[in-house]
Amino acid sequence: MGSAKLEARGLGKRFKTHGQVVDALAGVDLALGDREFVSVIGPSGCGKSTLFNIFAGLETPTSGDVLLDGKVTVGDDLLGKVGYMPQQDLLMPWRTILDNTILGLEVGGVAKKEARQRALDLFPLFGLSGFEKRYPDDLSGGMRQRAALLRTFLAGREVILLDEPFGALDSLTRAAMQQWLLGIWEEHRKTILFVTHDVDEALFLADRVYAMSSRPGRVTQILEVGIPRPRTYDVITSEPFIEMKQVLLEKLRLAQSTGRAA
Amino acid sequence: MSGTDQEMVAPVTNGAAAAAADDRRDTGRTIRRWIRTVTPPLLFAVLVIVLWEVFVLITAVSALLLPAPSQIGISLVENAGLFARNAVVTLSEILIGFALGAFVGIALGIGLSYSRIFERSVYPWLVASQMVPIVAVAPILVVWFGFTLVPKVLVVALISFFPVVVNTVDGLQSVDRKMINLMRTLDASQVKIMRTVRIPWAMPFVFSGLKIAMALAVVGAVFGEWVGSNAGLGYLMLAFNNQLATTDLFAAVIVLSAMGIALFFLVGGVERLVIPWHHDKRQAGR
Repeated sequence: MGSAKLEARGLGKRFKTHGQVVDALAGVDLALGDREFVSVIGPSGCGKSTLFNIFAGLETPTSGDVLLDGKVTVGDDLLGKVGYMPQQDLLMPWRTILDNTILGLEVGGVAKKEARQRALDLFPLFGLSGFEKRYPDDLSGGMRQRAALLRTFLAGREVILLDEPFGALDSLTRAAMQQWLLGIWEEHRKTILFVTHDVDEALFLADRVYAMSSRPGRVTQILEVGIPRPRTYDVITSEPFIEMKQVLLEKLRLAQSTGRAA
Repeated sequence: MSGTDQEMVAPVTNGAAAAAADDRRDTGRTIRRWIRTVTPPLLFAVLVIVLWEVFVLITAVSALLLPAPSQIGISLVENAGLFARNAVVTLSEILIGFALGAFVGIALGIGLSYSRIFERSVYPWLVASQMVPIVAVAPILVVWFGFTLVPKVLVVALISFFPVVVNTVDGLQSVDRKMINLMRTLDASQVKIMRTVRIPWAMPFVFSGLKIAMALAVVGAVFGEWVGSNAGLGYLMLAFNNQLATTDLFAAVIVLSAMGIALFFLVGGVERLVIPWHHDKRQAGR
């Protein structure tokens, strides 16, 4: 893993709340190769969000290191280095869709006019044409997520973190969005860390899946998804897919029961 | 696969046309809603005026106690010039005082939310300042500044800045933490976060404060004139009162009320211009 784009080494995070000590993460090792699509899956409370926030630079780990391009980069130093898309789209209701998508460029000091032009070039690809001047409240859930994704893509970071971006969508829209995301990724080739609690989603999208257990959150299984690309949605009923799904579900079931016992 | 195509392609081809059609429908709906909103209160006002007129006719109550609406109407027309001249005086007191109060209020609100120490040392005094009755302060201001515009403007400013500060601080503090985190991951500076997230977020709160402030400003101006002045609608009211010119007094009250209502809606109109997204959202929520 010498060539990892983003790597966690022995990552641990301990919270103290009301005198109680909670280990959200304990000794998490995880690596994203350049232009890889990696999924993290686990039951709720497995520290996915904590891991996500540490990678984004919003939280500092209690132990272990984050390496970006092979260099130790932790906490504030990570701010601005990694693209971040949280669960909620967090579109600003006072900005038009167009002006929401250019947020990263604007903060980065790109002139508004140029930023808008660069965004407009991508609007068709993100299925947002005709909605440039609309406000977020006018858009459906799927469109809002695509706008938030465009905002994340336009910020121009090589590594992008996505935290259950399709979690709130109905299953049909969700399947369409997954397929569409793969298309974008294959064209633009970013390094993506995708957090989800949906096994199908993780396997369908990723090159590699990390399964996590809860309290403390640690990696219990690493699964290389060998399904060739480009993938279409019918792979989810194929033999190898179902086998991998069974392995993961078993792990998650175990993780949940041990988590409860602990 | 086909599901994907539909979801992705439909908005691309029809988006612009659909948006335009939406706009047209929205305009029609807005006008109809406006008529629905305005008609009932107007009809109610007409009903009250008619009943009032009839009551005065039947009981033949003295105009010193309760003038008929028709009498008040005549007074309004006959004294139009007088009312206009004095309304301008009161209006300028309100506008200058309100602008001053709003500016100080918003600036203080932003300052308070920037610095914890500043907030903790100043905020309690802001609250305390509202406990000092304006009735007691106004005469002092007159002693200091005489029968000029200044004491009225200061009374208006003093009375109107408080709701603005409180609402600005509330608005700035209620910002969604996650939105600030999003800005941090973009490596945005504190100033940038203030300008792009906190202030726009707080704007609806600020406007709530401004509306209350405007209603108070009208009261403040009249009160300032009562304490010491030789012009303005408040001054006119006092004068009419002393002359037992009840009909003219009523007319002056109506001019003042009309001005107050207009100013209040003016703030609402500015709100719609400055934060159109918020208004649309509220409409949608209804």
